[in-house]
Amino acid sequence: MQSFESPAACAEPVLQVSGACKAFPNGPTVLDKVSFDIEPGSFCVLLGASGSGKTTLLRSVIGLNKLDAGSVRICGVESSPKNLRRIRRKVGMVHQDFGLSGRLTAARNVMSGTAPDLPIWRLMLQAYPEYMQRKACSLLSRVGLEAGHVNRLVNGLSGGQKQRVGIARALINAPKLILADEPVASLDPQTAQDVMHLLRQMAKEQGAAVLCSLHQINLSRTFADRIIGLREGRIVFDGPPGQLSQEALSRIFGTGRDVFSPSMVA
Amino acid sequence: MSDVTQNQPSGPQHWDVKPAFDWKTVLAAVAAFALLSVSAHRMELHRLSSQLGEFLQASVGLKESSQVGRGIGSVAQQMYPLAIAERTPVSLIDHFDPDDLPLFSHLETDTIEESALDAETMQMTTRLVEKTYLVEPVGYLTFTLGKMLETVEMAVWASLFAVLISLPLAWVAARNFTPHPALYGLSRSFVSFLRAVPELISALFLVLAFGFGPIAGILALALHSVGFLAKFFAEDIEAADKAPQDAIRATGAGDLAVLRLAVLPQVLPSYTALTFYILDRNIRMGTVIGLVGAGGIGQELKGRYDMFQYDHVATILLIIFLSVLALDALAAKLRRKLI
Repeated sequence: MQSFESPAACAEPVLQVSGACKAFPNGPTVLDKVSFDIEPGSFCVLLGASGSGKTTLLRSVIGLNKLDAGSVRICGVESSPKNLRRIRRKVGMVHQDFGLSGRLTAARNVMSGTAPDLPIWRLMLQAYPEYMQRKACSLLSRVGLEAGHVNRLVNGLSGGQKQRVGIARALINAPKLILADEPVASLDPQTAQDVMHLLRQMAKEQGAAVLCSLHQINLSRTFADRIIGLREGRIVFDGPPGQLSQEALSRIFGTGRDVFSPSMVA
Repeated sequence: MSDVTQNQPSGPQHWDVKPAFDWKTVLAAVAAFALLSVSAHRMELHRLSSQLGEFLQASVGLKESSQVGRGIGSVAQQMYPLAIAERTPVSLIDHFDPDDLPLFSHLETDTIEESALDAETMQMTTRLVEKTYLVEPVGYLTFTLGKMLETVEMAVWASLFAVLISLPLAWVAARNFTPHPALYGLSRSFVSFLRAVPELISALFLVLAFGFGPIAGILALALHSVGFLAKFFAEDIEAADKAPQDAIRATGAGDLAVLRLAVLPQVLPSYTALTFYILDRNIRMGTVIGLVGAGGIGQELKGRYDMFQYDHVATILLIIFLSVLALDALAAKLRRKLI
């Protein structure tokens, strides 16, 4: 599991977050001066308990949340309201609750990732160009779906299949960075393993870096090149999975939680 | 419950279960009863009860007659038999050709007395004249069916216009997609205004502007429908699940793409149901607004009613009833297929 084996389009880090702060009005601080870089092609897991700020951080990277302070640079370009839409096109995102349109087919959901590049009439009529349909089909087959799934409504797919469609959609623009927000939270353990494996494999193939939030320690250990531990909006651990000691875990999750049962830590 | 009891640790035998009714409920019921009593007096509901009582007594033979019974009876008598045939004096038909009669029709000749004033003697004289009528056995029935079709066509056009106007209006009137907060307020009040004006009232004015006929009817129905559809279309957009919208937005797409790809698929079933409802409503309201001259079967109904031709009125009412029934069944079938 080497980090820098894939060819990268940008030599600099694909993602640079510096001094990110966020507090909700009259609420607690969600992000407190978070800074880190993501190198091209690496698979980085954001590990933390619920409410540690993982989702807020990921949403802030893609501009779905506004940061109170700090900056986000993607492939060296600083994200601002002006170039937000251009920056988003370089990033693919996989969502916790899939974020798919249940009443659209699997293929249309995958192709919906290309919406910003489509002329308005193609968008309105849902008339995607032939090469895009081919691309969607080949992606769907590579994430493990069959010909019979292509024109099925997403509502009729299983959870694992839905997230496979979600991964295919995140990949259709050949992004250099994939954000995954708890991509396997609603899946059973075996499916979660499969989907994480697929996400890692597809990202390596495409040479995309992944920033994936998780709360499962063993999944993080298995798939991450690097783990960033987040607690109450602060980075409390940053290193390869090998360094994720008992002591580091207690910094991330606190003490006296059942996450320390042997099966979870093993 | 007082703080004292809450702070004291006590077993489940001391827990309070809130009663379904308390004195507030009773008070509200008494107040409602008092209000309704005042209103009943204003509505002369005592007259309703005495008239209904009289009618019931008369119908079981305890009373000679009742006002309600006489009213219903005289109309019912004139309604039967229904007017199915059309009988037109030949003299009223332009370019009448006895050798080329319409399908299934025949000629009838009646001898009737005709009075005229003799100009010389200044006296009324009566003489017998022969008059020829063209009788079409189902002429009035087909004519009424045609009028009903006109009403249905009015409703379809009105609903079509309403949907086409409501879709963009709903975008502006949805809080989370409106291009500008001022436009949101403006469009919402415009929609509320349209909903507040009943079809019958707007039809009155539209008939003045566009003349008698279906155009005024279509516009009146469409305006009110926009007031209804745009509001509910917009509220569906506001209530749509945010997760797919965020996902599309995260690809760098704009509002329009989010609406098309993440919102429309969600709201489409509801939009279809609303459109069917408004079509159904427009057909029923379409019969009513004809009363003020806005085309369709209502216009015919009003004309016959004003001429006391209750047999024709009965035919019209029957056609309306059967059509609404048939269209209801059709709509239910379509809805099952589409949703």
